[in-house]
Amino acid sequence: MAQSMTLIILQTVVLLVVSPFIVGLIRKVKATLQCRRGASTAQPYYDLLKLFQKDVVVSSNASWIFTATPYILFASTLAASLLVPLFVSKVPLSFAGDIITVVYLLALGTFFLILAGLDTGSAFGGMGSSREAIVASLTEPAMILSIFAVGLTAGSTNLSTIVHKTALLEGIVTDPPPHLMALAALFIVTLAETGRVPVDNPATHLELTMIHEAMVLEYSGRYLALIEWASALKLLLFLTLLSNVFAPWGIATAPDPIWMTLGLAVWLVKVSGLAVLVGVIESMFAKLRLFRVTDLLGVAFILSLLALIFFYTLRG
Amino acid sequence: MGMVRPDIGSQMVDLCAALLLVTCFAIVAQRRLSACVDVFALQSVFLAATAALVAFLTGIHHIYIAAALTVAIKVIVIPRILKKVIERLNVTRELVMNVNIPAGLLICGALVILAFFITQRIIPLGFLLTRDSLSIALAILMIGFFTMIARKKAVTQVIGFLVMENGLFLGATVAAHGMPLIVELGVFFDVLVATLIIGIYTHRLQDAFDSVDTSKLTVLKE
Amino acid sequence: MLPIGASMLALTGVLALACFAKAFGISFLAMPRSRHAKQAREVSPAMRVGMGGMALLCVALGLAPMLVVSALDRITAPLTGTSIANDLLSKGGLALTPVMGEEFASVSTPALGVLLAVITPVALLGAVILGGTLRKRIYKTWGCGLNLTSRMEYTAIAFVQPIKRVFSTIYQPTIKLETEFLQESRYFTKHRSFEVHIEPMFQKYLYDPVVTFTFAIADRLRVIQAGSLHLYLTYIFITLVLLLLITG
Repeated sequence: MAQSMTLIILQTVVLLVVSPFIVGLIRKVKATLQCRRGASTAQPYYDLLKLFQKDVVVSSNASWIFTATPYILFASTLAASLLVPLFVSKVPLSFAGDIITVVYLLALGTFFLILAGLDTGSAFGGMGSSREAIVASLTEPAMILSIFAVGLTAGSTNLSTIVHKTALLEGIVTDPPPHLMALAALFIVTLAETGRVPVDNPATHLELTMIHEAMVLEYSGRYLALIEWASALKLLLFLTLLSNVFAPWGIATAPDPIWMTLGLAVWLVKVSGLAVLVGVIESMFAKLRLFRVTDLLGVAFILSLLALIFFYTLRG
Repeated sequence: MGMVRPDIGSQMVDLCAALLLVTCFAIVAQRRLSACVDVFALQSVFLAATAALVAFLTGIHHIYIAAALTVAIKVIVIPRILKKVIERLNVTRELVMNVNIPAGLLICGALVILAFFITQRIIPLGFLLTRDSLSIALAILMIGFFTMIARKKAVTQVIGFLVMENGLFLGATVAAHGMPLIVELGVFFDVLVATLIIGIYTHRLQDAFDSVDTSKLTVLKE
Repeated sequence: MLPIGASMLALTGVLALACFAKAFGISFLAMPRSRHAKQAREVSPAMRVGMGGMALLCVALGLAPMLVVSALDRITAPLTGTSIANDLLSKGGLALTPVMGEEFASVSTPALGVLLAVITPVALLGAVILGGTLRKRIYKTWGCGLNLTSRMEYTAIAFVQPIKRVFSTIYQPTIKLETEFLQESRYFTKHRSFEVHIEPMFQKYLYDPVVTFTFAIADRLRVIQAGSLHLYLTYIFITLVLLLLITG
């Protein structure tokens, strides 16, 4: 029991500390590719601290949903992240939920964010909410299907079991054709759910180009800090899913301190590598029009569906 | 339904072949012609890597030469020719297709499954380095053919033809450990000349019909 | 197929989420969008208790489904002959697992509820530690320099426009826009009306054929209802004789 509690608290601390670093790393990569020096990778930490200390301005039209949403979003994203294996394959909370639970916890946060966007009465908020509704409705099926494609090979939808079984396997790959298709689908879903180019531009406040930023436009002070932290946590959650579900080798399969430290280091390297890749892709592509985004998400859904059909018809 | 553990070399060939398959899907899902050409170049890089890996694992050295030729012709020369054609014709996107993208992707998936079903019977009969690569080669061949049917613009049809040739090369390398060098050289030069001819032909198409839509060729029937 | 079902569940879930965000948000949040909404008043507590009680029961059912599982099992066990309650519960009754076993999947909503309930005050405390006490200012929303009116807010049609467009093969929306111009000049409009309709697909393709079919059969069967009292007595007599013959 005590060991479980320490593991949970350790995972929380690691998640909260590493997530702003990943955001800073992506911004640094983008700046380097644009031939400028850019802010340091520690800048998001300073930003969060600054935001916590600022005053909060709340719209006169807003209701209790506006002030409650940052906490609900933060709690649900952190709870979902605690279900995903980070540095040890059997997470203490693995009995509490599987991949469907993770998707629905994230949907809880999205629901309240959509309501908060409508709450202030500004047209930007309504626009962000309506766009977020369609993007979320297309990404969630693709996300579930792509994790299922790997999960069925391992015989479970429980994330800890999938990671544990895949990590114990010798050799370098499990079953390339369906898993690569599922990986491509989940990567597109990652870009969509975390609001990265080509789906949404996280660095802009132009009404043509924002989805997530439009919903949180009216937030300030500690509310904005919590929301930014929650979106950094969501990014880290997806990058962890990509690295630990598809290529978990290096993760500790038993809660032994030495192996866990090694697992932590390997996870950091993998997640940083993926963050660099996201930064490169953000610099290579332009943001798509909203109805081209739906095409792209349709492609992701079909890819994950094909990975699953492949698995069922040809592998048993 | 458990997980298999073959040896490392054939696993890597499997992985490379699967990457090739994913790039095929990427070509089918693309509207922009220059992006299609770029993904084709990436596919040829993966193909050269697969060929080099097979050469390393089996010790047959002339496959290295074939891999180098793949890089030279299919990664550098042909994409450059195609990009020049696209630039000259000022055609960037393909908006109207015979089969739209989601349906096209589903059909490609069905073709992959069909390819796997067909080759499952042959595999126990031959001596193969890997299990899945021949199936993937057949799948890439069929997807290339499907691209030629499903798309209207001449440039995309050329890319479909080249993807078919990639699939053939993969199949030959993996199943028969490469064709004799003379045959491979001949095929490469054929492909190069074909691309050049299609480049000229697209230009004439543009002059005659003011569009590179090959369905306009039916007008010639009258 | 299990994964397809799960993904369709996710799609349905998110669309239901968008539906309720629209219903709740457009009706209750921000400035009232119509005269009726502006003059609306909350109902008396007696009416609220009934609805609120049922809503609380929904939440309770979500947070503690294991209580219901044992109760439902007592009903299904005599009917089917097997009792699956023990297969469905695990971890001392805290988690729900499918019949295939604990390895396949497991969800424990009480644990998740506790987790969420613990993280929220900790986040609140953390915000207070990092930033001091909350200093809040209330001000009007930015309306691009103008005073924000309810006409500038998002409406329900605007909110669902992307969903309607992406799923247009299912909804098959039709739009009607009529404009009446001023007599003097066609540059100024006097009156404009905009209507959006969606095809009631389920009614048209599922319910209506079934209803038509049922009515057709009912029409055919009407011949036995001739209206004569003697005919009905004859029916009862024949049924009685048949019953006596079959059971006798």
